Amino acid sequence: MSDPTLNQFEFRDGAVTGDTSEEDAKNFAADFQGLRHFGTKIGEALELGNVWLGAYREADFTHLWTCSVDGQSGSGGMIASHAPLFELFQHVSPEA
Amino acid sequence: MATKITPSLRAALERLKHAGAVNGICLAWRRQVLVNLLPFENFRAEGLVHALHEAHEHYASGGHEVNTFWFGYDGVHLLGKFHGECTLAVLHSRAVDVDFLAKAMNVFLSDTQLLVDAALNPSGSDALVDETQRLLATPEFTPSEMSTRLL
Repeated sequence: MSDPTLNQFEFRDGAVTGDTSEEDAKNFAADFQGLRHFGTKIGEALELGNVWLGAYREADFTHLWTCSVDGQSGSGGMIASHAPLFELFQHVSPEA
Repeated sequence: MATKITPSLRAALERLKHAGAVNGICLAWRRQVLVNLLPFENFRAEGLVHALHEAHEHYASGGHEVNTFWFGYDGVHLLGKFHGECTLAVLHSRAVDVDFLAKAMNVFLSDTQLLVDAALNPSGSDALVDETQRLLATPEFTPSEMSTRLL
């Protein structure tokens, strides 16, 4: 995935680090928290357990992360396009 | 009409269920579950639809037009898509299927808008059927008389 608009982030114990601005890191953290909240609600509704992957996509924006079971560490990315989810998943979390 | 249309909708969903390693499907209109083919009771499907709507509204309030949510759990993934007032959620086991499934869900949601509309507005569709029957029963337009006039 060679899109120049791709920003990647790592997070651990509440601290987000990325290769772009602090504002981007804050936006990523806010989206991570929000998406994890709704993923947890869905997991509870269907008794699926803890959410470890979350993504949302708009016509011109894609956000995706993977995290540990406790949600304390993980990695993710944001890209300013309607990106293929599996390709982005493999890119931000190659070990998964 | 609704009783005739709903099995068609269900059959279309059953076909979608054979795309990739799909474990279950749920179709909703607004917050109302129309077809639940998930391996869970209806109240759990309703909980899923409500949570997806909450997420959609949360991002909409921030100016984001989210059309797809994707979540991963132990051994299963949930892909949710929005089209107009319809929501389609699919449980699938292989992550690699996600983009193929997303495209198939888009096609399904586009193709079944008429079926969904007919299922939701049975009285309007019945009225159309009655009107068609009345027009065919008008004597001066019967095929036999038309052919007599032509001869």
